[in-house]
Amino acid sequence: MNTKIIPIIFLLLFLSPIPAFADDDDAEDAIESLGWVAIGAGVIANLPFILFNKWRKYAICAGGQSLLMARQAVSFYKPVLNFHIILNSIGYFAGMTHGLLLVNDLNSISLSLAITMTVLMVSGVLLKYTSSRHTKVFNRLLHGQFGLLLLLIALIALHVLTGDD
Amino acid sequence: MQREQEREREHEDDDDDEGLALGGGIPDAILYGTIVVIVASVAYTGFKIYKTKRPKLTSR
Repeated sequence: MNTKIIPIIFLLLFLSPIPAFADDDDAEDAIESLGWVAIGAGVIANLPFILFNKWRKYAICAGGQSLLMARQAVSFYKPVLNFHIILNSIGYFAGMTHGLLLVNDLNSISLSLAITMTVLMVSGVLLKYTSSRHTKVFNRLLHGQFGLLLLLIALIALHVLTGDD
Repeated sequence: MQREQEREREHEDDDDDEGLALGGGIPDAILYGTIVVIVASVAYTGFKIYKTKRPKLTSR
């Protein structure tokens, strides 16, 4: 129990001094930069992962030499998946910290973005860590929904366009 | 005092430089739309699983 609480307390203590300087322009710039870190991490985490999976599916369907290459690429899947999980976690927590520190400027678009990010994050965490087969199947389908990805991209674009310069 | 006023004016100028301003009800509509899309995704996923698990009726 203690081992779970200590990192959470550490994280909160780590964040606590930042709002105290939130009025300062430099601090505000730093908090805004967190948002860009989240976007960058999200792009780097998802683009290679989606391309890798699409290529693997295409190679399996194509057969022949491509199928052989797809079989050899199986050993790369786990490192690519871990990269996807770690970078998305960094992006999620950077984005949420950015949102929490600028909570005074909260609007409907930011809230929509936070909800969508949380749904995708929770489904991903459940997909990875649950042992229940039914939950795994459900979250595999939900996490891979193309509509949710499109919604996320649209909300990020709107958030950037409607945000402060 | 004068410096404070200048700073205040700079802040006001900064506010004028804000990005794209959406009209009154649009952000709220986006929020409701997001909630609808998420609920629809969850329902569609559940329906897909239900459909694949339900045994097919055989006609004689």
